[in-house]
Amino acid sequence: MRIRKPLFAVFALLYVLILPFLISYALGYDLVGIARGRFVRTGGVFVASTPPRARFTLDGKEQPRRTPLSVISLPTGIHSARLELDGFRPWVRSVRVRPGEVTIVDDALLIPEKWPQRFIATTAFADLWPEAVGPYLLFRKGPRLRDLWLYDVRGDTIVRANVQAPVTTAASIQSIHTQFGSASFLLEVSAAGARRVLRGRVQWPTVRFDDVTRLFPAPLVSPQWSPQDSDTIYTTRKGRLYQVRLSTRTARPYPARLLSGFTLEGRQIYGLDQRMNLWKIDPADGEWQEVHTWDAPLTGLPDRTSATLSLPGSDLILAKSANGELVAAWPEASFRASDVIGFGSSSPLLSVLAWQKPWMVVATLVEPQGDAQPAAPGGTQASQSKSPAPKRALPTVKTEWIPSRGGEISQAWFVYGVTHVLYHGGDQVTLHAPSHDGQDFNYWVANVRGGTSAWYSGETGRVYYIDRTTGKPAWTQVVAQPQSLVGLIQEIRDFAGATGGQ
Amino acid sequence: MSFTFTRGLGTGEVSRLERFLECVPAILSWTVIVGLLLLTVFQPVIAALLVIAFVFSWLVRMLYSNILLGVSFVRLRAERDTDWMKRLRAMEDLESCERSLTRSLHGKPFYERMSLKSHLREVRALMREPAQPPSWKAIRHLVIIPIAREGREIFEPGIAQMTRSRFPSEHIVVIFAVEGRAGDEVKRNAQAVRRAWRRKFLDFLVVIHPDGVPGEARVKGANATCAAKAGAAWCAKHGVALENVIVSCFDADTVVSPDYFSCLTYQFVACPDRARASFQPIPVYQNNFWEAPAFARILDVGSTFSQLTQSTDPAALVTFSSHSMSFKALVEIGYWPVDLISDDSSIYWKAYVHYHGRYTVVPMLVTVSMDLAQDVSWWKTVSNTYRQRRRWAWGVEGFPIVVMAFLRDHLIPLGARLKQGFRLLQAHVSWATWPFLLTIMTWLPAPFIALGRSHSVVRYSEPRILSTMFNLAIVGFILSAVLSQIFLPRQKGKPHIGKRLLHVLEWLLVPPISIVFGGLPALDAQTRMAFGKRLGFWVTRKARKRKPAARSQA
Repeated sequence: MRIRKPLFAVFALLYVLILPFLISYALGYDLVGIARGRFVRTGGVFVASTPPRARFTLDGKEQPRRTPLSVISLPTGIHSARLELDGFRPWVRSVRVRPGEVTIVDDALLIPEKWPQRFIATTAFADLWPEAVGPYLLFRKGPRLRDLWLYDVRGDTIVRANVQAPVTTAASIQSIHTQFGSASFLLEVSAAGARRVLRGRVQWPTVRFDDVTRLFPAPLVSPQWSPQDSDTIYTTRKGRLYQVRLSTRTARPYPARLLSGFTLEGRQIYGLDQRMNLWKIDPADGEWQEVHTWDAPLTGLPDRTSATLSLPGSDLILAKSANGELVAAWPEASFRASDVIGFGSSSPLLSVLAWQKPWMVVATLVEPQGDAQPAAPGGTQASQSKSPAPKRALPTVKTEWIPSRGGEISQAWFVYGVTHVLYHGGDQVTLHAPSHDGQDFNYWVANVRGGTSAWYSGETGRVYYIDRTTGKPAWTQVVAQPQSLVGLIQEIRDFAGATGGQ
Repeated sequence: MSFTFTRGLGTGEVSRLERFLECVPAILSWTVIVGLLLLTVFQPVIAALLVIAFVFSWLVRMLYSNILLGVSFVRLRAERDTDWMKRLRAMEDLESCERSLTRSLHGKPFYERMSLKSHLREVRALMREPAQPPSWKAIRHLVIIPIAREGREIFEPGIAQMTRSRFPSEHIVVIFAVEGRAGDEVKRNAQAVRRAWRRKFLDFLVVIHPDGVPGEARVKGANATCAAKAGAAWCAKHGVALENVIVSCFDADTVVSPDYFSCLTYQFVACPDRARASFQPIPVYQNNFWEAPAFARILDVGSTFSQLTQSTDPAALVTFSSHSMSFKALVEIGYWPVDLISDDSSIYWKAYVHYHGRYTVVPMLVTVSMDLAQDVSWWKTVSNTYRQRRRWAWGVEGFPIVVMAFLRDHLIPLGARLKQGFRLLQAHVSWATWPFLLTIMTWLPAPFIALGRSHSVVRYSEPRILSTMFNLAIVGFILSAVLSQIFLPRQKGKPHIGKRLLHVLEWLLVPPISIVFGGLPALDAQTRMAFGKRLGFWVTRKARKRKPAARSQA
């Protein structure tokens, strides 16, 4: 057939001519640019939202498909992204597109315009005492031990706890210390004028207490549970670190080092001495090693000796760097970190949450360029303890001040690198979720009524609170598809476990 | 050069080389599949780029083939109403035929004009030849129908149809080549059909092929060869010159169109090098089309289209299924291979080697209709079809023999040897690998890029590019679906609109079908050959649910 060969030549030529463009397009090169003789590499963005099927607008241009979707062949640089879905508040963020890469935005949580409210119980409660113990929430109907109620988050049922305690159930509760993910907790109570420390274990619908006062002779100030072992608690007494094992009823002191605070990071414990030098200790071998000394003057430190994730009462914030090491920052003068309640690591930046009426502060620590690695080189522990680590530059701090509406932060948590802050104030509970890169912030208000405090459950996506007008406990759904967060929480737990294994 | 087109060509190094060549297709096919899989796991970005290049080449090739399919279909349509006998009679006097054609070209409808132009080209080509073409009156047809275990209802309709041929059936000698190991009933049936129809033909023979002849395998080629030798004896006895005899070897279920023998005779007469040519009709599988399962229909329509497309390139055309050739050539090359399973294509390669590359396949724009592989149940039909396809794929056994022949025969131009060798190897490797690559492996690189936590653009661009290309490929499938509608036979006694529409949707089954009845049997056959596990000849079962119309007419 006569046309066969010319036809073959035409198609072969088409293949040879078009294929380089296809490959270039696949690698992210701008086809228009190539046609003009310029090899410019583009990038893209992938957006997934909760709930899905939201309209996605990029730089003012609505995309034809709905989330989850990817848009490629985008010029590099900053683009404005907006998600919209009927019945939900718009979601806006700036997205940085890098050459040859697709920026993943898979944490877009769309918040409903209206919040449904559902009462948990028909009777009024004195206060929401929202402490998670395993899959349960502990509610307090009054100040006494017998006023404890248990709420099953998954089953959405509430019962008065069957309290079995070695003290009278009329004992008044002073403080509670729970462990994330564990059904055990410590309770400090006052019974017949005497201070007692009880260890509680929830076995629905019973809460069994045993007396561990002997192990905690001093007032409980932020004791920390071991992330690996629900039987072990770390605490300080007169500035000295103790490891307490509940099962064997033993308290092991570590070598004397007057601490102003400490924090657990994986299998390490980091502590600050009175000069604000940072030390670390491996609980297994119990030898302190000096990690950091600081350039900046550290003055005006209040005499408080506890630390959780940060150092309440001091102007020093401890935070965990993206590579899992502990760093510290001396904040700007305008930033008082006296009420720091937590921090999140959202690579490459760090977010720290603090509180100062009437503002809430979200401070972002920016690692110094060049010598961002902590000065804790390898070597034996003995040599490290003898020769202090070199001084290092402090991270800079970027702060964002948010009107708090007169409320107080009740809870903060970090999901997938995103800092969420839940706080109450006035007649509403407010939920904040800054973006994961720490540069842009999206805020929304959960228009729930009343509540003196609130609790968010990642498993159900609900915020639990006490309705101010009725005094009844209630919940509202703030995340439309909490199932996705269950996976994220599990991921965080896995991550915590992996970090702890290092 | 002395070369025997058979297995086991020698000993020592020759044997080792042949053995190595037997392994080459399987090695290449497995290397392509496993290599891409490993690349996908360890270098998914590179794998993605390779996949894009491959799918694009497939798309380009598919669009190209579709154009050729369309052209071929138009040519088939143009020859649909051709009166081949009229042309044969006119070609008795080439000069007046040429003048008449030249005059009559103007003012004709498109299809007729196209057909006449083609005819005119062939007449002019014949006029340039020094020798006069033979008269159609001198041409005799030898039709060999191998029968292994087929029932009368399978092979009788073809005989009945031959009597309705526009070419005088008095010029046709039919030989039933019955396997000696076939049951008595099969032999009785063959004799009964012979008795019923012999007066319609020049002669009708039933040749029993003895079982267990030394040097022969239990293959169709051995049976057909036995019958062809009987045919040669018949020619000698009746003084018929071999160069005027066209031999056609049909499957037992083959039903030729009424124009088949007149078209074949025309092509034979019109072919200047007719003694060194095979004549390949378009096989269509329509005898039991509406009784067969959907997958079998799609498979066989696909085979038909593939043959239609290939018919546009005689240089690359290889004999397939039912076909015809010069009896003189068949006798000269020593008949069909008697130990190879894939006699359809082997006879071409045997002739190609024998004549040092001077052997062609002439495409015939006429159809022969056969049965789809079918059995009494759906599952048995699946098994039946798989085995049939594996037998076809076993044609790869010709590859080492052809390459060995090419290595020895320096009279075939080097370029032709390289081209044919590569084409043969590429055909078998792509047969075994493409279905897997296109259906499964093209989609793997992107997830593997994601698994590696890479945010490369390729992860998102590759699926997008592939989707676009596969969407474009749908154009090809739509064309195939539309053309298949034109090809479909009418369903007797029942309204057929619904089934026809359903048949369009059946094209959605192409991806799984291509793996189960394309890549898998081909890979199976190649791997068996690489491990030296020979495939026995297995006669495809072709059961029919309805009684054939021809039986009642007989």
